[in-house]
Amino acid sequence: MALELERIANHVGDLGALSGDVAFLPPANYCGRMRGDFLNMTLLLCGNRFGKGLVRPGGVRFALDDEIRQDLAGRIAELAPQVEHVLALLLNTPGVRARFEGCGRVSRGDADQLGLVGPAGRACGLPYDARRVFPTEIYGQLEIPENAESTGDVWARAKVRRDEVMQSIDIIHSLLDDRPETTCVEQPPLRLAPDALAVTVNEAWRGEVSHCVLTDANGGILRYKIKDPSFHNWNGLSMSLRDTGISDFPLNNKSYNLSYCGFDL
Amino acid sequence: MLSVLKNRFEQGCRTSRYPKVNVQLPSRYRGRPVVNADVPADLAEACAAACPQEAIDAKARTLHLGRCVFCGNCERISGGQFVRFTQNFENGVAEKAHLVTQGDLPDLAAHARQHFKGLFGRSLQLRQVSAAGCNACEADLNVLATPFFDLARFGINFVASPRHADGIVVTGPISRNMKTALMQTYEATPQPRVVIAVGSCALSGGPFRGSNEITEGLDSLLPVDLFIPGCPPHPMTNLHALLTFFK
Repeated sequence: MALELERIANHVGDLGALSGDVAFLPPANYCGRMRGDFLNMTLLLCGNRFGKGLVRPGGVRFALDDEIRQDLAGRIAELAPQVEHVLALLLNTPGVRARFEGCGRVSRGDADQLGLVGPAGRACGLPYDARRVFPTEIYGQLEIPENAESTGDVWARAKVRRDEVMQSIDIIHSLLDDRPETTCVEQPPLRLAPDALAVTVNEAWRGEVSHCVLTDANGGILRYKIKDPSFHNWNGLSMSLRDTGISDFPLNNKSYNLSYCGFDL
Repeated sequence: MLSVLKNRFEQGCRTSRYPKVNVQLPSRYRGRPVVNADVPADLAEACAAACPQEAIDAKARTLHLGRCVFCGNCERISGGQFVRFTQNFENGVAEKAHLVTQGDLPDLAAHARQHFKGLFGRSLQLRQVSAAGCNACEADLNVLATPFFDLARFGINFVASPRHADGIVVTGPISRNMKTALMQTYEATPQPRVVIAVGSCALSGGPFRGSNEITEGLDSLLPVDLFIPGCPPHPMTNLHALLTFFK
């Protein structure tokens, strides 16, 4: 649920930023506010807007109680139609469509060879989504739809995000109804297996994020490597920008919204 | 056009009435910690040992707000007996010594630089420098521009150049690679200038304290006027500190 809340908050923020970049200000402001409302749901869950302190090795530190469950359900019920209407306004406005469509197009073949991940990859027709391909936790029991769009332009990257926002809202709805068991863990004294290699794959909001840890004979950390989705997707942005005017740079850049330090990790 | 108006109507006015009306944060929010000094020594020591930030002084029964990342370990271990995190978001201080506390912070308005109120009370332009921050502090400063907080209604704005600014707001643990850029930004800001440190990293190095890749505390490089603790500080903490310090 925390992952999906994070995904919604960031996608809504990105769509607002895209709107601002084509000088269509109403959704830009509404999305800025609604992004905050989703961050506040994470605050409700664990006391921090960015989920800090929520996840610990082996589980989470906070469970949902009935009061929070009701509060969350109420907030989402109020916000969902607003999100839907604002995103419809954004994507149905002819001026926005004219700027988004055909801007920064990347072919499926190029995307495949560059290994684009997340919404940027799905916008080029690559259906890869770690939630579906490597399901962890409860994802195996959820139906994560294939969001493949084929056009590979800013329009497709915006549309994939819009679809994912609405799907994530549905996922949270179903998790609130189904009441899956949550086991809380306290911070255990961390003892890692000696001489071991562990790799994790998760679908973060930007795409696949992978952590890899290598331990020595005493269970100490020998090497810890994080691969951020930005590592792949910066190359997608440079492909998008081939033979385009400088005025398309900000729009393309926002449509990927990548991390600088994520590349250097 | 009709759709624009319909959305405008549905959105309504979302701007908070703060500071006229106070804002209540949810019960799990970990705001200002309050220390109970009357606990057995072993409990205080257990909390100090479990603190990942070495923020607790078990003998003096104090907590270093500049180091604290508000993880809540001490509260859990002591069952709220030794440290309890309140919903109070008013955590900004004007002197570094005030960061070491039992939970009763001195009045920020009284310790603010009074001449700043005259100079910047009606118009304050700030340049943000992210010196290797994780983007949480940066994002929660950024949201002050969204309609709920609407920082511009108080005459405070973030600007795109230090040449246009009255001061700098620094986030992150100040990595070696960002140090020169930070110092150049400071020097490019016209005097008199304000320096604000936001977040555990800028205040003390945060989780990176002890690494030789970073600077442990902005105040070791520059004279800091306002310290805002948190990991990250809630936007209301930032807003409260700016309004109390400059208004």
